[in-house]
Amino acid sequence: MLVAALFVSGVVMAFFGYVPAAEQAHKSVADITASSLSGIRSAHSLVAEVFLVMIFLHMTRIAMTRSWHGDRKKNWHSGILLLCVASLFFYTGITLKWDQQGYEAFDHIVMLAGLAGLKGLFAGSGPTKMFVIHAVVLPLLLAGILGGHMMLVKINGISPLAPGDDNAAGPQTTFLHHIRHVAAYGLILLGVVHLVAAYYTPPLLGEPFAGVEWTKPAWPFLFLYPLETWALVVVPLIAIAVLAIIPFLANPLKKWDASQALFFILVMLWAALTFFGAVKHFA
Amino acid sequence: MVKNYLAVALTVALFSPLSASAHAGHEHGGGNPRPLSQQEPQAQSSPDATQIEIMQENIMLKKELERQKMAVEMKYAEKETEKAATRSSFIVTGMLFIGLGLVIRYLPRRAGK
Repeated sequence: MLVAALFVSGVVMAFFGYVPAAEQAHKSVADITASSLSGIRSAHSLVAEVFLVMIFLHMTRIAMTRSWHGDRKKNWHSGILLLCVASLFFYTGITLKWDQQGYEAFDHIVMLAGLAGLKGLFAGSGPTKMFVIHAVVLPLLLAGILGGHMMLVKINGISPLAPGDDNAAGPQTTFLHHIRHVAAYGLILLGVVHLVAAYYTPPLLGEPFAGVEWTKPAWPFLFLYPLETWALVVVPLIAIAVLAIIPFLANPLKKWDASQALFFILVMLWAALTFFGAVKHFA
Repeated sequence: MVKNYLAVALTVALFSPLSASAHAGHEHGGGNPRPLSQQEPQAQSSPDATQIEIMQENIMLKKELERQKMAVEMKYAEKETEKAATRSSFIVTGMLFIGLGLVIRYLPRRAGK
């Protein structure tokens, strides 16, 4: 539901307002914010944030029920890929505003690409490159990986609520039954988000100045703010690697095992770095 | 007498062109016509200096304007960044609370209960 809402609102903005060119991107976003499309922008921004929150809660539920052992390892690994794609969606979406925060976000991408010798890939109009990634490349990736993820859920069945309960009689619920419930709760959530979007305008800073760093990243990436250049790449890669090995530490015989402990240690580290990034200022 | 008058008249007629220089500057038509506004070229002897001064002042004022605009934008960006950082803290705290709720909800039951 949330993905569909993001897709529709994104297409509307691209059709009727947004111009993905460096000279006009910021002004087009400002015009959207000032026009009748401002609610669409608010909804798009809020749904994106709620989407990431729901991914986190979904992963927490999976961790609590250890629904990642046995055949469901592939579910977990495809879910990690989806987490990466969703994060990239959010990051590239920030750059599209082409305000001070968006420009600094893009600047970091260029810097990291420079470390890998790929700086030329992002030469030219930043909003254009980011728009192609955000509106073409990532949606295709998402469609493919999400389709695989849902297929695996259908094949393996909905995981039971009690950990290690796979041998219990029958699955907890059928796939379609589950999808119906998810769709219903998703619509309710979407409704609440749209009510909030009616009264909330996402911030838009002024046109960007190059060569300065005045802003901090948005909350999903605030944990990167305290990190140095090389750590911006290394730390997320380590986190992804740790998430990937978690299912291999699962022990269904125990009520609480190392895989769950590792997951929650990772969550606490992420939260701690995020709070640190929120309160600290770095030049 | 008549010969004298004739001699004088002839002399005047022959040498009258020499007096033309005395009339210079009073011709009617011909010469170098120019609008009245250009009659005093000496008054524009330092317009370039004034224009250069005005242009330099312009450049300085534009730089000052740009600097002030940058200062305003920086203050606004810092203020919004502080608000966003606070909002981020609230979001992450909310996520942790809901996560804690899920943990409590899905905690395995004790054996025998």
